[in-house]
Amino acid sequence: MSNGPALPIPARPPSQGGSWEPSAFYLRADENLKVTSYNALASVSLSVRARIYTADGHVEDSLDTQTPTTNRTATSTIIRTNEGWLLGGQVVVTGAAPLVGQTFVVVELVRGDSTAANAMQLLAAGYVTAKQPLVFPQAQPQSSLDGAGALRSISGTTPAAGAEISETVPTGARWQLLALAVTFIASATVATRTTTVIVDDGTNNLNQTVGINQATANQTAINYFGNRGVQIALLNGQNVTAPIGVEYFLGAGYRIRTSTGSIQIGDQYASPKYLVREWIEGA
Amino acid sequence: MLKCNACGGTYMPTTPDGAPYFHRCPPLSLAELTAAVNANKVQLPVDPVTNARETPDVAITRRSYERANFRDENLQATSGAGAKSMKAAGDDVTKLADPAPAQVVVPK
Repeated sequence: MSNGPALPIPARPPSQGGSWEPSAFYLRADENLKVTSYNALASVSLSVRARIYTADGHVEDSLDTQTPTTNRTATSTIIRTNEGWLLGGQVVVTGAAPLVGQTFVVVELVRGDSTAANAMQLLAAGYVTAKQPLVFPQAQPQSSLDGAGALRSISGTTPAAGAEISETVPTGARWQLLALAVTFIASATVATRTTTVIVDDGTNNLNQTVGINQATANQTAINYFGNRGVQIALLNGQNVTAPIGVEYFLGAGYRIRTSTGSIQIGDQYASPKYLVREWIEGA
Repeated sequence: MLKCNACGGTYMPTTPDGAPYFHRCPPLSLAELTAAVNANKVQLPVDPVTNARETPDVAITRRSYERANFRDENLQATSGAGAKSMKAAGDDVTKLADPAPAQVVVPK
């Protein structure tokens, strides 16, 4: 905290009959700022800066830091302030370079100084990136589902031999599936395998692509490419293209998985690769 | 790299972009369900229309068969007590050596 020189015309709080107010956000002695972040990227650090016009006529700066968790769970920090008017502030990324969709921050005016303090007013909400601070107070708080989302290329679990691929949307995330690439290697057992891709909500199937390939014994590799706007096709005997939904939004717990007709215990899928847009979603 | 002791799947706990990866065991495949049926670990239901017992290839299209010890590393919630606990620890994991990187630079 640092105090500047007293301004020539000190404001007075409304309770003391003041008529000139530096801002519309008056903080009483027991009111503070609370910053809560939800983050999905390693090494992110946040810097919270605010300016308070104190009741005795000084402009006070505050500078605090917060290190969010990386698993999309809430991390809260109380920024203790003196009594006065909140002139403004911002939350800035000082570590890593999160994308829109990866680090969502909520700034509130709270009464009390514990992380369980009662929230009195939302001051700002939105994503922060290396190029975009979150400014408060904010006229129009954002939803965590606003914006283009973080473009993420993910390598999933390599299943055991004879097992299927299954990828789950993490807790606190929402995905839009853009593309999926899967490689299948048939064992020596003679059978006609047919791979289909299923999207479910964790229990119920919501969509299933039609499987058209026929992987036979010892077929070294069949590559499946799910993309938006393509037709089902078998190209040069080894590459299969299949469509996936254009507006495929998947909530936490939803799964992208394969179901393989006549799969044999020695068949092997490689680690799936998929491209998603990701947002933080409260849960 | 980690190996799930429940399903045998292998995965990296952190993705290349620095975000954590949360493994969740897949439901049984047709081959795994067939083996479980043959081992009398599960009994498939009788189809009420045909009065015939379902075969594994039919049953697996009608419902999801999960491992009793499945692992789900996803957190129960994003805040409160659930933010500290995964949904199901299953049979834990075994640490393996990391695989070769996806990109290798060959010297001149």
